[in-house]
Amino acid sequence: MHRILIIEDDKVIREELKSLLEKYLYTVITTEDFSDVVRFALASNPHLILLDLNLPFYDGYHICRELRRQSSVPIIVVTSRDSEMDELMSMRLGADYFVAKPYNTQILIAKIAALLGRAYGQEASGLRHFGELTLDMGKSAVSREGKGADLTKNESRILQILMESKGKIVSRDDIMNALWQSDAFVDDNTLTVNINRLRKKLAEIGGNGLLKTKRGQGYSL
Amino acid sequence: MSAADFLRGKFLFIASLMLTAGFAAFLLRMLNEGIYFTLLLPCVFLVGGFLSLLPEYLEKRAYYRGLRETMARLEEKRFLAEIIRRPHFREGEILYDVLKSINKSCNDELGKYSLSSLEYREYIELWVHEIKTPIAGAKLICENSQNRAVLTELDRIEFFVEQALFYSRSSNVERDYLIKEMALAELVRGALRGGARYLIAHKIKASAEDLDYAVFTDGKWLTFILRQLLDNAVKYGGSEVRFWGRQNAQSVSLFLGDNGIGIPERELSRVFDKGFTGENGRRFGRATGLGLYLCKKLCLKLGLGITLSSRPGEGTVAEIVFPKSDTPGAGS
Repeated sequence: MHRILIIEDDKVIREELKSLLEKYLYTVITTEDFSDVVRFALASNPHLILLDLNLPFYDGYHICRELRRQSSVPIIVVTSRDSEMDELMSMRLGADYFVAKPYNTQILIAKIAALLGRAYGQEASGLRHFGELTLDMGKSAVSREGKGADLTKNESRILQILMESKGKIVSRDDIMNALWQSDAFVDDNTLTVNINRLRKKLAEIGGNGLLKTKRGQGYSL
Repeated sequence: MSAADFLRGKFLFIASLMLTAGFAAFLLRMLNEGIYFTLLLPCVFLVGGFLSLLPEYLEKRAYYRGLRETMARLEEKRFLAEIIRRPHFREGEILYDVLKSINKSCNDELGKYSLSSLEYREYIELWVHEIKTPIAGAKLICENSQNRAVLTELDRIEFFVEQALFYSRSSNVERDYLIKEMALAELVRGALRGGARYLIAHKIKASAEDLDYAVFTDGKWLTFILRQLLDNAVKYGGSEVRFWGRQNAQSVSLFLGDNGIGIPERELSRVFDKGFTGENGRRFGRATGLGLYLCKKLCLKLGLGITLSSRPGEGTVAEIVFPKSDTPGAGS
């Protein structure tokens, strides 16, 4: 799987980001020594770098510029300096994306996947597996034992969230939040409709009863 | 300074001149001098006396007239002492020196206050950036441990921290924003994404349509303004928020409508005033009278128009007007 380097001096954020990304099956490298980050970053040869701007020794702008001089690895700048000016500056120094702290993890994860896909080829990055189900995000289709069904954008997003939580219950609010983060501002009723259609489509490919409702809590696979 | 004013100031001198001339005439008369001589000599006295006043009068008149004109022309009156020249007559010199020292002491005080307000502003900026790191840490912990209730509250904390930052920016004289061409639809979506948890927790139905316009503004600032307006819509009983756009002759309008309790007509003109909470604010008890004031102030700085219209019981519509030109403040 892809290696991600986190350059962040705040311990809590570093550790939590690490466990978040590890949940998404990335290999995560971190460092606590910021005296020669550029050399460390190049030596560890990551597929993607998450870079904080406020760092001891050298600031993120400098590191970004130095990295760009010697490597084309995708860089996401994550920072609490969030003015348009900082964003422009980061982009000019060669960052691929800019996320303001406190970040929206949904967006961060999506952006990481997109950048990795773009830089190292799309294969496999759009496919997700859970149990008997395979979800192809690119084609927006689900398949089970050779049978397949096409999904709408919302349905495939809902299925993706449920698959990523690996059988754990996901609340309606969390599903709605994830949909909102991908610009589908659904309300309660629409979500119910979407869930029912998804359940029907799963039944069509023999996945009867796969999508379970936990009353008052949410849904799970 | 008119001639009459000047002569009034010289009353004693003139009176004594007249008396002396009168007394001279009286003496000459006593000495039985001829009538012509008796009148001529005092007249020469008088003419000589008045002539000696003339240069002083002309100089003072020129100086004070210049002073008044400069004062009238000056936009910032406190700079007067730095512009005028030091005069060549004694009272003027004293006046000038006094003005100069008052000016210096004012400038020192002003400098002190602007420095302390600048330092405070810098502190707020720093503090906001500092506190974002622990908030980000807390949010990540919550995400990893699936603690939704705390996440929603953290979103609120983040919003209020932003509010403090924008409040301090709004009263700043320098421009620390960046006007760029932005897609209106993306700005609206950004505001909805940012407020998603709060809006979803309040069961708000949101929609955005007809927003395919490009506008010139600072994205971060505008997103904050929209979040503030959304916050109000939720606070005052809305269950539905609707964004839509409209192309005008010289501008693009963005509308945000809700179906909340609305604002009484007599209060509409005052909702942007600082500290104004109105009937709704008192009823709901959570109004600070800051939100809309801040929106207005930020809009003014960005060169945008903002108005509210409302029907009590049916809802409120906020309109933000983006002028077509890319220079803030220009256009309608």
